[in-house]
Amino acid sequence: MARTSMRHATAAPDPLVPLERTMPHSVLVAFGFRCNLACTFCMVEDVLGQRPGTDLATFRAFARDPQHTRGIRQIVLSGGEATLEPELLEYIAIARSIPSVEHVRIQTNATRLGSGALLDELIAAGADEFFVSVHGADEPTMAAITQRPGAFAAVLAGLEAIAASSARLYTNTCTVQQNYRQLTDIVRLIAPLRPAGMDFWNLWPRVDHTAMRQQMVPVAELQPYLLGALDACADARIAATVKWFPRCLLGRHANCQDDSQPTTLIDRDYWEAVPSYACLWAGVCDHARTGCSGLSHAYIETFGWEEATLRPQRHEASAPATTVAAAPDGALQAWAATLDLGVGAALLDWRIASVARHQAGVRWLLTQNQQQFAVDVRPRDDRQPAWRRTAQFDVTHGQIPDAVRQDATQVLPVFLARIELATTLPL
Amino acid sequence: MATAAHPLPQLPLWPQHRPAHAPVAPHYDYCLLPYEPQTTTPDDLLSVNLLRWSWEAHGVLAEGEALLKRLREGLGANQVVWGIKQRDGQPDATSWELYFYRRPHNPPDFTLARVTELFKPLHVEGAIPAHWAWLMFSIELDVYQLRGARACTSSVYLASSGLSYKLRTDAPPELENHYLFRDPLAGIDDILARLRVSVHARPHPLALARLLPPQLMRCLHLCVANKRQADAVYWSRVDVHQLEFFLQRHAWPEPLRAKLHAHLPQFAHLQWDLGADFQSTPADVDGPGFTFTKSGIYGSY
Repeated sequence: MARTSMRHATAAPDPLVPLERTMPHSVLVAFGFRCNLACTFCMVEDVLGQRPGTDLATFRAFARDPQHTRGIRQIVLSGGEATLEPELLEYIAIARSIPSVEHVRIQTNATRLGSGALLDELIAAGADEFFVSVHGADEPTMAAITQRPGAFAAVLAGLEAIAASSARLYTNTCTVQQNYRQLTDIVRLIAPLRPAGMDFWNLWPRVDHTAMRQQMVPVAELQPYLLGALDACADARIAATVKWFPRCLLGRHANCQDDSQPTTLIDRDYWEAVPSYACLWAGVCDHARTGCSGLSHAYIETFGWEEATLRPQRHEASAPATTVAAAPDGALQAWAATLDLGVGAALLDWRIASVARHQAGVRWLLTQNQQQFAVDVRPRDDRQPAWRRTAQFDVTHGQIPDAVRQDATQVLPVFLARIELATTLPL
Repeated sequence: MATAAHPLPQLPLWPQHRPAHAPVAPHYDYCLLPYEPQTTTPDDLLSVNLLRWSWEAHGVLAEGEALLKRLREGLGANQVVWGIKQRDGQPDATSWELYFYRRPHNPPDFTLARVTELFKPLHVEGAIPAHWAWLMFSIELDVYQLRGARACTSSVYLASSGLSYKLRTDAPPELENHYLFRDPLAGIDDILARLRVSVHARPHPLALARLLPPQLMRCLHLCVANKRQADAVYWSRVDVHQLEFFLQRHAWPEPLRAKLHAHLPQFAHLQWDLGADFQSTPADVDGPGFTFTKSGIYGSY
């Protein structure tokens, strides 16, 4: 324990940058699906009391396999309420048996940690991080969400005990209808405890039903309250992380948005109900390329795509056609655009840099990361060599740089599918 | 006409033949463009089995299969794109359409006139003048047309234009549809621009979510079509799970959905194409102001 605490102290990152941005080195182990609270938005509600989760034998086998554990620095133990699990100390011991593991985190509601005894036992066994669910800033809100009167005081006692211990405190607030107006109050409540980080997870509708959808908050309504909480975190020098809320709506806090999750050991059928996410602007927005999930399908079906609210961060080349400078050869460019092969059009990770008449045909220049190659389309002539022939055209391509050869072989069929929608060239 | 209340005997299904020791043969989408199968199993089935199930449910299986046989013998394999059209909320209001594209693997003399010959004894109205730059023509079928009680109507789709025309024997061609195909990611601005000016939908937070459900955004191309009495959205190359979602969303006849579900793994090698017409409903003053009137699924044979 002392050793890992020292590593924290010597390697403390900028407090405004989330600690585990992409979580490539974390594994979450889910077990003991029981809970002493009954949060209205619980993402494992359907498996509580139904699934065994990852048993000790499975986790032990995982921990003993260097192929699985290579590079893992953090094990997250989760439930249900993990502290209800009689074998929790053994899970911690197994986690600590993995040579590369630096941190063992317990995801908990902290209601059983206030007395200090269990907390001391867990820390002594090797737990050094506690990730505590705090879903309200007062008793009525907490009671409404957890459906357990008195939960607020119990959680607060647990938070204070952790803060007073050698372990690091992290909190997580699920943003829902019942609490989104008091997010800043939650930060003010927690900040004196000097948490290492505060997470704000927008509702993740894994158990998608009408009641769950009624707890969703339209992003435009949630945005000012979430930004207020992030401002408060920044003022208090608390690292904040936001999940499942569009990054484009976070303004100067955009770097706090991170939808990544650790690798998870859990019953296989848990994944069947994992919610899907999408964004109408995914093809033109840089945020989508760098991990922003967009909106859940359940959200989109409830409130729509939010196409007027979202603010896609557009690539220069993917700006709307109306902002592209007029091309010198309007007819050719317009024709290419009808095929989705106009200047700026995206084909997988490639973009069309230029379209121009070339010899007896049309030449497209495809570019990616400063690499490029040409694709020529000419009227079909079976006497001439060609890479591919359509009914009307011969298609050839120029030298492809070795560095992008694999990508190029994937993009060429996409190009072909588009050019086949045409039968004449505007020559 | 058979209905859900009268289950049909099991129809022997047509398998996807795979030549031994040969590379995987390409499949074809509703633009008759080739793609490689997603997965393969020894029990894979042809997409055209859905068309056969639909014909069977409407009592025209023999007529439909005879037509397919004539087309296969006359044109060869992978020359026909088929579509099943279903009126939303009317399980018995089903029609079909066969599409014929100008593609590199066409046989010689591939014309509407040639296909019209192969349709006989069914009669097909319409002709395409030799100077027209056509990309594709199609022939519509309903129960009566498949039984030869009525002439089949045809349409032509012009190259590089997105325009289609209804062909008539004794009247000028009539503009039918205008199509816009775009990549669902890079081309979303154009798709939205076209949908925003649709006279069949009004600005509403849920309008786009209903026209472009997130479950179908993973596709090769989105297409918006402006038609005479409706507008439409098409999705190309979706997987079999998206097909199931679509059929359920548009309340397709339960027997067909059940059969598809029973054979889901055997259809997983295919990519499917979908379309849905929507029409304004002025009475819907609080909502997006439209209803889906017709939906279609497409495959090739």
